[in-house]
Amino acid sequence: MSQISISINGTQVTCAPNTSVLAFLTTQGLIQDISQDMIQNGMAVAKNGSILAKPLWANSSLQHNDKLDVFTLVAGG
Amino acid sequence: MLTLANQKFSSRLLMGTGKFSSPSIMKRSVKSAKSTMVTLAMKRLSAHVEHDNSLALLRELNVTLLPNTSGAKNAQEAIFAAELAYEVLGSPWVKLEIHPDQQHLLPDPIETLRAAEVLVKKGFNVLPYCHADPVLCRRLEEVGCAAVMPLGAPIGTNQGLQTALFLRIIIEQANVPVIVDAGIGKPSEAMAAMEMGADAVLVNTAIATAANPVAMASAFSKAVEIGRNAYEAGMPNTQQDAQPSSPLTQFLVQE
Amino acid sequence: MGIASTLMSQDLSNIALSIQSKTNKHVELALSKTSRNLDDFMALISPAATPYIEEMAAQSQMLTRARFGNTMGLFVPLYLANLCANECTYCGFTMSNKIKRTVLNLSQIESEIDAITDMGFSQVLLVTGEHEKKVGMPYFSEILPAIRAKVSNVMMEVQPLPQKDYETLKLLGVDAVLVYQETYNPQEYARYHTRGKKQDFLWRLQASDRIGAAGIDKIGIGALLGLGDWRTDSVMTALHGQLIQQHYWRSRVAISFPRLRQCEGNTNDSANLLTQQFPNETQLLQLICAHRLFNPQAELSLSTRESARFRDGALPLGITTMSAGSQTQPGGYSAPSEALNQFDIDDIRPVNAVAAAIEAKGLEPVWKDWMAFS
Repeated sequence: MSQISISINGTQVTCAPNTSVLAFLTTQGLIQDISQDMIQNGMAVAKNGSILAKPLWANSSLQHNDKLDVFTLVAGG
Repeated sequence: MLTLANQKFSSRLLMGTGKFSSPSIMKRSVKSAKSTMVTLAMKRLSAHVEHDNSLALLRELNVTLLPNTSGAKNAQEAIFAAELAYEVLGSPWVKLEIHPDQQHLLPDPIETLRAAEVLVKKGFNVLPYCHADPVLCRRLEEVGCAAVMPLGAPIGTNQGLQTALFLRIIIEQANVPVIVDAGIGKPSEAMAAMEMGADAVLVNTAIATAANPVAMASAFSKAVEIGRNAYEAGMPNTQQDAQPSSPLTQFLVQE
Repeated sequence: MGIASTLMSQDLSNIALSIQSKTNKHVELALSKTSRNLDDFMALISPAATPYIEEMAAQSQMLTRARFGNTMGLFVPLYLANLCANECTYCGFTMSNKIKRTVLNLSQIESEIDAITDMGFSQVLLVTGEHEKKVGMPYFSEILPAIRAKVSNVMMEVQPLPQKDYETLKLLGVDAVLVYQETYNPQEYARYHTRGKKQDFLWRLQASDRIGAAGIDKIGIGALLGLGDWRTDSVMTALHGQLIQQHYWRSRVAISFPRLRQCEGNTNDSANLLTQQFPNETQLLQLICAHRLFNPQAELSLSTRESARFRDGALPLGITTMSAGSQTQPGGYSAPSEALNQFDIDDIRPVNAVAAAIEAKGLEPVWKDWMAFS
């Protein structure tokens, strides 16, 4: 099966078709421990411009040319 | 006690957490300031860059985290940023900051009012950063903001309370807390804002870029407390002169 | 609800005690400030402040000129009807008084308006007794267009109405609505209002919330000085004005100082009527100045209840609008009759004499208030 192209924070990467968002973020090294309470990870994800709530990450499959933006909060402001 | 959106805060010194030379100095400064509410900024998370652990550090302090929409250039972006922040923290607090002006970082009043109205309806406790415009502050209050945050001077300039005349009017007119934000460069300026009747101040640059931020944070904390005590003690104002040339009340009949 | 609940939660006996406890130190502190609070107002109307009247007058004059310029607004009351469904022991229109009752019809109103505009007026205050059925919204809706066509500003002093009616009045061109609480003390209020809808203290108190929410440009308030303790009532009036400015900030506040007057044909025993003293002239001037010092933005209005001598003396010291040439019976301008006056006026000078007196004090009489764009 051929890989699909996903944009994450503006960078193009490839992954297997129908990879879940959760699995994808894990392979990208963005989630240290997937068994932790996700609130503690301090992340937010938007898929194609809309916020994807954390409970949906495991079941949301990625399609070719999907765009993911991943955010966190840091010191500032 | 400072009360914002029905929650009580033991400190009237809010802190911005940017511009510190290290997260650990930032954390020690927040502790030294005894601040109970600090701002945070939205940033893209990347696996290839050294992970910024400031969020985790701040969580250890058990203070209220106030995500900031800084970076947003219009209402739509600010609303999106607020929703992202909610997704990260699960907290209804948001500091609404929209400055398309890249040079002076002055807040856009129209986008701010638009975003405030939407975010309040979505259930956020909105603290809007704005110019010291009394009418704008009334409009922000009217759409349901939990406080107003008028500036003393442009962000990072440490110019003090350049807008003092208007801050006084805002303080006199507001039915929500007034938090003077931006421009405070010295503890004496924070004290002056509190003496004027401000409910709180937000300080960032003056602490973060001091030679000894932790000591400066403590100085600010004391100044804010002193200023508030003076305000609550009731200060006399300076006298206005009104001496007419001849008596005004001779027409009265003594009954 | 709104500012009415803040007013209801005030402790009136505490206020009365506080006023009486003020000393000259409190007064001097209040005078030295540039921005005064309600506590300062209490000091300024206390007995301790009366010796400071000259200084109060000087400051009041200065604040008024700074805010309002060298002008005096002139308006005239137009009594449309003396029909009333309330029993108020202090008023000539009280329902048990056997007087000739009139409700002016449109043609009579037009004659009145013509007489009024011939005198030079362009601001009129429409006054009625309180009679929901015969002098209610249908009547107002019928007459307002004709009135609005001929004068630039219309104010109304009628029964308290629901908010939707105030919204309608605003569309019909009403610029100001006046509702005087008479006294802010509910127990005193009940003694004087013995029958009719006016007995509803809270409905009346809440009127300013409804008027403000309807977006009416000017909200008029005041107490009838002498019904209750005039000082306490004045503190409540000052607070009321401040609350209106805080919450209905798109509107402005106008305060009046009616001192209770003898009204003809009132069968009530006057000894029974006035159990509280009302302010004497010096105290009335002190009160006007105290309001000005407390609230530099409020419009302060003086009616023809007071003597010409008092009005001429007081007008430069804090007042911003005055009535003149007033008739307090319906039809009094174009067709005066035996119809009873609501109260007797004292300054009976024709309006040009009053205008001349204003000019003699260095002020310019202003016949129009601002005009809306649409």
